[in-house]
Amino acid sequence: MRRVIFAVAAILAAVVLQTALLDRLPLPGGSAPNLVLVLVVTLALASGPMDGILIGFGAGLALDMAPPASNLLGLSALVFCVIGYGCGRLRGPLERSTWLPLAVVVLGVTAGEALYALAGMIFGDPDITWQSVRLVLPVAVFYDILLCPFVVYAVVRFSGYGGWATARARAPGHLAGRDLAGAGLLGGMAAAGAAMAGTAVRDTRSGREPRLRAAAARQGDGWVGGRQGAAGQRAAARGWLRRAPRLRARNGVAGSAAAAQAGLGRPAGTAVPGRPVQLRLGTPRRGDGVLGGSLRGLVGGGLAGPPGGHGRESRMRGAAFRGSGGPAGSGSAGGPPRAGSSPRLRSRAFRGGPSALSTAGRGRPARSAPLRLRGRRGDGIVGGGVLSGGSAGRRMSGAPGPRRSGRGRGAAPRFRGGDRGLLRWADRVLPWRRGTLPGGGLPGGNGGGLGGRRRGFGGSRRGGFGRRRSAVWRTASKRTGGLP
Amino acid sequence: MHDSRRTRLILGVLLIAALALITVDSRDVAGGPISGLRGIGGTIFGSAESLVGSVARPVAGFFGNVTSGSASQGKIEGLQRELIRLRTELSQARLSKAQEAQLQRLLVLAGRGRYRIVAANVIAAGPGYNSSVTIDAGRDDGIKPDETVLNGAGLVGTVTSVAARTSTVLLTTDASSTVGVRLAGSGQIGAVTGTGRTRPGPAMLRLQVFDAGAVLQPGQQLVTFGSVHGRPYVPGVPVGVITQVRASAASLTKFALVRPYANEQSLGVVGVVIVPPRTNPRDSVLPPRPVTPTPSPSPVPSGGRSSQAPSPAATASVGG
Repeated sequence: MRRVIFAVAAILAAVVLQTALLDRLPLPGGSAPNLVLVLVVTLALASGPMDGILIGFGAGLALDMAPPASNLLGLSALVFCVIGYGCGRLRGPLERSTWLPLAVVVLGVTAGEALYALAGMIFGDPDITWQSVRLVLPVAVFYDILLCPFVVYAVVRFSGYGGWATARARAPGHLAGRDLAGAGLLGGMAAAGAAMAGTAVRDTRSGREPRLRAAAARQGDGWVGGRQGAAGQRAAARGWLRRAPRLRARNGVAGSAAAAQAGLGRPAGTAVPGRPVQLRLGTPRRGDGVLGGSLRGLVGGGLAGPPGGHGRESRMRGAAFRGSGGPAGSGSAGGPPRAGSSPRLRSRAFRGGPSALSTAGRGRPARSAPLRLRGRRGDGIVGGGVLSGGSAGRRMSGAPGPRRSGRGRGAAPRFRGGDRGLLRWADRVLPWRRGTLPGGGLPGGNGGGLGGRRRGFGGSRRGGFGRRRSAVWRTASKRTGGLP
Repeated sequence: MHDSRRTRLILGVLLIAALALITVDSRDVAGGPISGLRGIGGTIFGSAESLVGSVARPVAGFFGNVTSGSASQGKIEGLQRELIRLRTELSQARLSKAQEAQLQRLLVLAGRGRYRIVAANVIAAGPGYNSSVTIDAGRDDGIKPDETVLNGAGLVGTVTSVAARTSTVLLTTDASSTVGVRLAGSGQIGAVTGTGRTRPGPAMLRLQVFDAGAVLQPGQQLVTFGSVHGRPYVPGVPVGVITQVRASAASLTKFALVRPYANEQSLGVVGVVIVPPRTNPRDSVLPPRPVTPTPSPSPVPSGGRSSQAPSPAATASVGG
C-alpha cells in the first residue's frame, strides 16, 4: 500500500515539477530532462513488469493531461507503458550486478526518449519531425542521464526501506492483479499482515513460472500473514515451533496453488496436474496439521470455516512454503509433529522457517547454514509469516524465530522480495543501506540480520544459487522434488 | 520472467487504450472525451503548477543574492544579516520592478492597440517537443479558447484550452501554429509557422509570403493579419522581424526566417486579449524599429494613424 502511495505521489510531483520547473529552465541545447520518464524507468526497475505497466501508463497519461501539454493525448502513456514493461522485465536479471541497474536505467531512459520520438513521428505530431528529433533527442537523453542517479537515489532513499520493502512486496501482488485474496478475505487484517501476505505472494511467485501463476497470492498467504499480524500470530508461531511445516521444495508450483485454490473453491485442476492437488487435499500432511492446528487452536474457529476448510487452508500454506515437502510429508500424516524425524534434511531444504523449527524443536542450535537466507522462494513465505508476524514486527525473544537458527537474526528467513533489482543494488552501492536489507520488508527487526546474511551470500537467489547450491541442497530438492 | 499471461494481457489492454486515446485525440473532436480529460488534468495539475510557480518565482529571484556568510563576531553577523536582508529586499524590488515593467509595456501596447486584456503569469511550459505554456488565468477570469495572447514585446500565441484557473497557450513558435501576417509598410500578406525545435538556438518563425513578387528584406516587421472576429488572432499585433531571406528559385512563394519579438524563453507577464480592438490598428503598435546592420530601403512604418496612444489605464482593463 505504502508503495502504491509513494509511486502515485512521486509521479504527480514529478509531473508538476516537470512542467512547472524543468521545462521552463532555459537549459543550453533547448531541451529539458524528462523527469517523469526517468522516474517511470526507475520505479519499474524496482518493482516489476506489472507495476511497470501500470506506473508507466499512469504517469504517461498524467503527463499528457497536465495543462501545457499539447501533444497527442495518450502518446506518452503508450510509450511509458511499454518502457515500464520492458524495465520491469529487466529487473530480475539485474540482481547479480552492482552497477548494472544504473546502466539499465540509462538504457531505459534512452529507449524511452527514442521510442517517444518514433511514436510521435509515426502518429504525425507536427512538432516531432526528423529535424527536431535530431536536435532534441541527444540533448534530452544527456540531461536524462544526468538526472538518473538522483532519481534512483531518491527512489531508493525516500521510499523508505521497511516501508518500501513491505510495500514492494505487497504492491506487486496488488497491482499485479494477483488478488490478495488473503488480504481481502481477512478484511481487517493488520497492515503488517497485509505486508506479509504480499511478501508471501511475492516470494511464491518469484520462482518458476508455473508457481508464479498458481501459487501467487493465495488466500493461504493471506492467512498466514493475517494471522501473524493479528492475534493468531502467536499461535502460528508456536505451531511452527512445534512442528515442522511441510514444505514442498521448489516443486511447489502449481500444486500448491492448486491446493490453495481448491481449498478456496477454485478448480484445482486449473493450475497443474491433479496429482498435487489430490495429495494435498487428501492426505493430511504435517504442514497442514501445523497450520491448521494453530489456527484452530489459537485463532479459533472464527476465521475458519468447517474443519475441512481448515485443513485446506493449512495445506495451502504448506504448499506455499517450499522446502522439503518430501520428508515432512512422507513422515507425517497430520500426526504430531515429528520435529526430529528428519530434521537435517528439512532444515536444509527449507530455508528459514522450517529449519529453524526443526532445530528449535530439537533444541540444537544447528548450523543455521541450512537456513540459508538465500534460500528459495518458499522461504519468504514461511519465515516471513512467522517472524514478522510478530504483530509488532519485532521478534519476540521467546519466539521461535530467533531461536531457530541459533544465530539470532541470521536465522530470519530472507525474503526474496526484499533484495531484488534496484534495492539490492542500492544496498551495495549506498553504504548506509548495508545491513538494512530485505528483512526490512518485515516491519520489524530482522532486517539487520537478513541484510548481513544476504550480503554474505551474495544475496540474490540466483547468484546464490550458483554459488551456494550444495550437495545437501540438491539432495533435499531431489527428495522433495518427488513431491507434487 | 516475472510476468504472466495476465501481465501481458494488461499490457495489451493498456496499449490499446493508449492507441484509442491517440486516435480520438487526433480526430480532434471538440468537446469530446479528450477535452474532458484535458480539463481534468488542467484542474488538477494547473492548480499545483500555479502553486509551484508562485513559490518558485520569488525564490528564483533572490536565490542568487543570498550568500552564506559565517563570521565569528556577532557584529559582523548582524551586519551581514542586515546586508542580506537588504539585498533580498532589493532583489525582490527589482524582480517586481521587472514584472512591473513587463506589465507596463503590455499595457502600453494594449492601450495603443485598444485591446482589452487580462494579464496573467506564465506558470509552466510544455514538455518534450511542444512549445506551449500554461498561464494562471482561466475561465474564471473570462478567458475562452482561441483568444490571442501577447506580451509587451509582441505576439505570444493563442489560447488552446481553458481550465477553471489556468489556460494553455500554444506559442507561435510551435510547429503546429500558423499565424496570418502582414508586412508592415508594404502590406503584403503571408503566414508564419513556428519552427519548433527543428533549429538550434532560439526558436524562430518561418514566413511564407503568398505573393510571388513580394520583396522581402531583413529588417521588415510583421504584424498579425487578424482572423475573423479576432479569433484566434486579433489584427495588428507585432509578430517579429525578418532576419534572413531564403531565396529559392524553385518555389512559387518566398520564405524568410522571422525572429519573434516575444522571447519564448523569458515569458513572464502576458496578456490575453478578451476584447479585440474595434478597428484594426494596423502597424501602429510596432515597437521602434530595431537598428539592423543591413540598411533596408523600405521606410520606417508610418505610424501616423493613432500614434498618440491614449493612456493605457484608460482603455486597458487588467484583470487576473
